[in-house]
Amino acid sequence: MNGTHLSRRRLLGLGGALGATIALPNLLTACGGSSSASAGSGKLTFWSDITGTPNQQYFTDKVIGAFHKAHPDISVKTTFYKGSDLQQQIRTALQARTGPDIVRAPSVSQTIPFANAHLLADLTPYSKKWGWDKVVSQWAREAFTIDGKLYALPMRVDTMMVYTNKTLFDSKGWTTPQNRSDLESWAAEAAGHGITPFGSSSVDWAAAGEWLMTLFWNNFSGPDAVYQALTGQIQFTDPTFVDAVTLLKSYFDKGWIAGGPSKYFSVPSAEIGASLGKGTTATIIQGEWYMSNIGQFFGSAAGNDSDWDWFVMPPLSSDVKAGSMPVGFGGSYAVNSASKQQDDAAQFLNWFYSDKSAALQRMADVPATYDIAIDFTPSEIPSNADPRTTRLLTSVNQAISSGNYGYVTWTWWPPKTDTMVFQNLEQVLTGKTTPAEYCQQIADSFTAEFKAGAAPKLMKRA
Amino acid sequence: MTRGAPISPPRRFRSAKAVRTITGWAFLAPLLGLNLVVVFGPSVATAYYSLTDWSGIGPAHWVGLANYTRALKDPAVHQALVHNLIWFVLFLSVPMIVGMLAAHLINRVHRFRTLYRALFFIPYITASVVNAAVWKMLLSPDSGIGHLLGTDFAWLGDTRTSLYAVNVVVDWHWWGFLAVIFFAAMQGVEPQLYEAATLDGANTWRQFWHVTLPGIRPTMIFIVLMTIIWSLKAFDYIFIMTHGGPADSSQVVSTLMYDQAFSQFSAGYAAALGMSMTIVVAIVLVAYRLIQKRGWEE
Amino acid sequence: MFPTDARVLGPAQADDPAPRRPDRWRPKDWHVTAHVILIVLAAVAIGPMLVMVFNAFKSNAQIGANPLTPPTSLSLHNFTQAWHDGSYATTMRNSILLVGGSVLGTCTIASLAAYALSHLKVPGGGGVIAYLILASTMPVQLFLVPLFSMWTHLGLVDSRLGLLIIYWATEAPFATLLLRSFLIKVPRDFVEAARIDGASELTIVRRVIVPLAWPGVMTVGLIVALTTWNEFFWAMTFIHDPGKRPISISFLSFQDQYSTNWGLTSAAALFVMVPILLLFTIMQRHFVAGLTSGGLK
Repeated sequence: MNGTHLSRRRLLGLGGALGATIALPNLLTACGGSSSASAGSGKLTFWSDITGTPNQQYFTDKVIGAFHKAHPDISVKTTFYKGSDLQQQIRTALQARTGPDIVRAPSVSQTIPFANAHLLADLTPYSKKWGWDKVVSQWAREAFTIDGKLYALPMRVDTMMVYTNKTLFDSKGWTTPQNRSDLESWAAEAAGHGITPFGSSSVDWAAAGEWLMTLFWNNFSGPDAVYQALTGQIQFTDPTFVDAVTLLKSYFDKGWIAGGPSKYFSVPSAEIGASLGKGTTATIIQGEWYMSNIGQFFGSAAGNDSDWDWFVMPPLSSDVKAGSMPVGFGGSYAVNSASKQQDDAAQFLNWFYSDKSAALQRMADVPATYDIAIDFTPSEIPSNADPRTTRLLTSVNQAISSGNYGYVTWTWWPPKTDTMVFQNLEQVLTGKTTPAEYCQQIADSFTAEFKAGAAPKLMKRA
Repeated sequence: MTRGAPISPPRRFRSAKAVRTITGWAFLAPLLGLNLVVVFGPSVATAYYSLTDWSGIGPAHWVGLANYTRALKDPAVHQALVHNLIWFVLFLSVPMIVGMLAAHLINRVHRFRTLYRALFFIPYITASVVNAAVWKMLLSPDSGIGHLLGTDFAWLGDTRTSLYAVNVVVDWHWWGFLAVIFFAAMQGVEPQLYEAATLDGANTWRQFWHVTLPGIRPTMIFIVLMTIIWSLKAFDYIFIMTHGGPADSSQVVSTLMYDQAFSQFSAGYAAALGMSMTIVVAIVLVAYRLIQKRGWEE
Repeated sequence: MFPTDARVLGPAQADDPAPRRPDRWRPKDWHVTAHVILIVLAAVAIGPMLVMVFNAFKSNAQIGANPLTPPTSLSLHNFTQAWHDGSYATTMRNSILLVGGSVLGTCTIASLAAYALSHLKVPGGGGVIAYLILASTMPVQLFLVPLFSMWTHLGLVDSRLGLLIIYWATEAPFATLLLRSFLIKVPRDFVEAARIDGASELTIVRRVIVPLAWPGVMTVGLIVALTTWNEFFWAMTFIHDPGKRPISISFLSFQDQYSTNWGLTSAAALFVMVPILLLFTIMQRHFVAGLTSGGLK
């Protein structure tokens, strides 16, 4: 691609660049602004963290390929990265005013700083032009709007579930627990058989702790209490939140989760998955995205003849109604404000959301990865969808429409507090901090960010 | 330089000396030039950021020495420094001792030298990502070595052992490298000295102490210096194997810095930590210069 | 420079005319002990790798049953699948290019600089050494944004040359310092003699210094090759085109994808390990040859 000697242009560029580096901080203070992006070359770049060759192949063929068919003048080149690496790459590139045209940004909480630094293009004009208010669910648009400007669209609707080894449950005569006492007596029985009740791991994804906290705060303290805390009406030091943390810790101390804190910190999630397939772990607490990965641990290819299923975590206190599911967004799609092809990049976002039949087909083909925040009825779900996928889609829709939903931390908490949720949880699990101290830390951090206006906007509860 | 009555050197010599100096700097130019661009420039930027409240994205505002004063009082920094100290003691002693022992033994045996050297070098030549993957499997509580021996202790997951477990892997990785370096340096020691020593009855230990060690002094001092400095930089393995956890039990200054810069939106503070590390190294360097001035290298 | 007799033998024995043989240590016993120790150390060194080699030939089920034992049958299935899924043909080629470029570039830069610092008595040399050590301790993680920004301006992102320049800059300091410690032991007399014969400094480096310090240059070259082959942090940040990715990045993403399949991952790891091991084995012979032909004498 380049010549092998240092040309004069390069040397001059070197001097300029050195000067630029030293002056860099000043350059960075100037807002990127919105360049009037004309049509451009029609060649877009995209960085994705989809893992697994079959999943990547599907994305390249059915998503990028389908988009290209719909818009032959635009082509997209995708580079695949590991999840945690991708975020570092995106940050570095965006800050240097370069990087992909279509940005796969992190969850809402972590994308807010990008928007505040003007690194993402303002999508409001496109939204008006293409009528996204009729396509994208309102709660999704509002979450990504700051100061009246829309800066990203949600990549995927997230929720938390409990995956089970269905064959194991059937053979032991276990049924889906309906409330806390059911859950605990079942867990005690499983542990008595030497089976780990709940599998979980923070090895491959340090933020796994916030999945557990999301579930326990929503299913014990209840969505109403969480809503009040997130809107500043009550504090996170309220006893109901502290008790939720204490409950979580007690499950860990009993060895019910992952077999104890030490194993939670050191056994990789793939091993936990294999353990679920073998039946030495009974359930795995994970997000809906796990549905596209879990299949590999079951069946003849994995060396067993078990199958999997899932249920919604039952209420852990009387404040919570059955079927309550915490919801939010995992990741977002945005347009790089330094991109020279913003119109084309926005066109991709438009297609991704507007082409409803294609979107629904994707949701049916690949479990969970492509669940986007559009409105649809159960009858519109394609028939080739796995029944477990269909049940997920309908359950989430039902929870939202009936107002029986909660809040996941990685969408509705402000960024620094969100990081604190999982990082400081490690101190609680290892006994270095008490649940009360932990909640105090969360409360202090939240109050500071809330006052500074860094908290995402929540939709009013019905 | 010959001693004698001072004569002013003839013109030819003086300009020859000047030419030599210029040539010397010309030879240093590629090294320093590249370094200036790739290292110095960004370092200056880092120094600047350390005096700001930069979050990692967006604008940076001047805050003076606030980050440094915060670092001095921060208990997380203190804990990380303690971990660095533990790391430093282990990393300096264990690989050096084993490496020197191995190098000396290979130097003195006659057969299988090549084979031993090749085998010892294998941990070092393997990429850190590969080594970390292998050891993570070996240290796994449910399927590793411990499991086979009957325990299901989680070496990397328990806060009491996480730092030491990673350190074992890094020591294992490093001593083979030292063995080869020391072996190369030992080749520079004249064999006649060993023969003379054996004939005069000096045993292995005395040979090592009085022949080998003095013969490799410059290399050894250099390696000690680099090991000291690199113990401060210990990052790769800790990052891959435990990420500084669990619960900061294996957090060292470099991983703390990375966490601050990329997870905590405190890039300015991270820069201050990085600059502080450099200051500590500068102190070590001063000590090194003092040693050098005493002529210990030659 | 070299120890005198008194220091080697101890004051009491220096004047003793009749050599005494101590009764306890016989050369034969000592050799056996030495070999035993060396064998134990060797086992510790390659034990983990051996496990990995075993696993590369087993299927996942076999590994689950017997994680640490040798394979009963040698199946190449893992290797073929790993080679294909990890795009090793492309990434290995890229890494070889990067290694070649970095070794040549860094050794040249380091040889010149090390010679200047050890033999040319450059004023301010001590300061340069201090700067090099200081520069090599700067935490690279913090450079990311400024350096990436600069490289973007220069159009050096996503280019192997751009990555090479970073490698030259970051590997040369240590290479220089190490080579310098080897060069110090090269006697001044040879250099003086060459100067008197009218050789230019450049010729001296090529014809006198490098041959005399060949084991040192070899060692430095080998270390540079290793560092480049195994490097992943810069490569990950500066190379995005999958066709230009080096082998370390390929293994990282492969391992991420196939983390349950330890057999596949072991095979993938071996692809990363074996080439550099071969390189070392080949270079080692030259290393020894240089010594036995009296290079240092």
